[in-house]
Amino acid sequence: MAVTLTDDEIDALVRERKVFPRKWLKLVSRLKRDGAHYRQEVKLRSESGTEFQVKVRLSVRNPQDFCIVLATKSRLLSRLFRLRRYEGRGEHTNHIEGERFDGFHIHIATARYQERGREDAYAELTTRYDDFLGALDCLIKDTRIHLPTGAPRSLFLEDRSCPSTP
Amino acid sequence: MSIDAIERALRESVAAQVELREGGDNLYRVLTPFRFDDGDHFVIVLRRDGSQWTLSDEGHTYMHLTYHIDERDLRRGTRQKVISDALALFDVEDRGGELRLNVSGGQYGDALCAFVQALIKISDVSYLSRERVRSTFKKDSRALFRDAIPTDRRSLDWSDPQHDPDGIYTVDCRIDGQPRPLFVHALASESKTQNATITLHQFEKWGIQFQSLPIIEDETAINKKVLARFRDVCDEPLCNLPEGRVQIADYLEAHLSG
Repeated sequence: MAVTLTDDEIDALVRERKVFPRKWLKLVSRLKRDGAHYRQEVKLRSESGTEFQVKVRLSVRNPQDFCIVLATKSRLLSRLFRLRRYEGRGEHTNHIEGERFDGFHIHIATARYQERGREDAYAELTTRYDDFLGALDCLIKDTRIHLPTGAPRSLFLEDRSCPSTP
Repeated sequence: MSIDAIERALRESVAAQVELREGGDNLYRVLTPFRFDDGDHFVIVLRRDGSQWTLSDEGHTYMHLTYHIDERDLRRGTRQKVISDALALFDVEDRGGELRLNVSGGQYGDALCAFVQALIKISDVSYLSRERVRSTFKKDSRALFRDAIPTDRRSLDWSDPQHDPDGIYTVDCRIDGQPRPLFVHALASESKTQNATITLHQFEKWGIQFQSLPIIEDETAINKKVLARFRDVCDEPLCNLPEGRVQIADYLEAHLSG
């Protein structure tokens, strides 16, 4: 598969300042049930006008099985391009590097995995979160998503927010 | 190495990659080397209800597929057929989105093999989306036109009868009802994109007034220069099918209501 976005372009998109719309809390409070999982999506834009989407999926049976995706779509891209995925607990193998691990992990889009057909097939183990809200908090921080004016600064009342990337 | 030694080595290495880990009350996670194409391993648990052991994916497989595919597209057309065939072939039950297989006669190995094979087949529908399977993309786009546009306002495979009686320059769907008709092109391939480019240029030469909407499955499969030449004659955003089905339907509905 051709490389659609280079690593630098991916990094630039992740670092663009983005703002959640007012209805962003539906990612947490208005999940829709679909069979054996819950889902919800929110669209947002960066200051430069780039379109993004945050999608969440959460297992009905297992609260540690979830996925929170940041994807982008521009006029040059006809489909959603998955930039980051914050995953629940599970096993993963990085095919190119030959690494296998089990735990909470973050998928990161790369050029080298685009060539193999899946931009988001590379992942890194993380200890920065251990539940769905923690993962969402990490995504918000890592990808520079700002909450709308007047919204609380964090998803959490106490300071148990996601630590910064080491 | 003797063939017996190779056989032993294969058995040991394969067996070593299957592991049970306690996951709760009467529940064990079954770790295997089998995975989705994004590197995440299949989620499989072994659960006991009374005296019955059952393999389950706890609803993860479908949830995982929806990271890339619209939920509705899993329930119709070719994808739905692939899924239902896989379930039937391996006696896997779909209970409210959770895939399950009861272990009978103590045949845990056979049950696990059958369950994994079913999950592999089902996860392949994600590959179906990315590959340019023309029958699915064309079928999906035709289904979209039929669902979203009333019969009296659409013409499939339209060509201009006045300028082009032989039907050389065609559009996949012409939608009427507005001052300028909407021409929809389903760009399934590089050659289709080139043909659409030539067609739109020809319409401009004939002085035909129109709007256009390009639908595409995978722009990475089309040469960038070919796509750039198409963009010279149509600067509307590319719309992806199946991922953008809802957005395309909304756009068509907005166009129809003017």
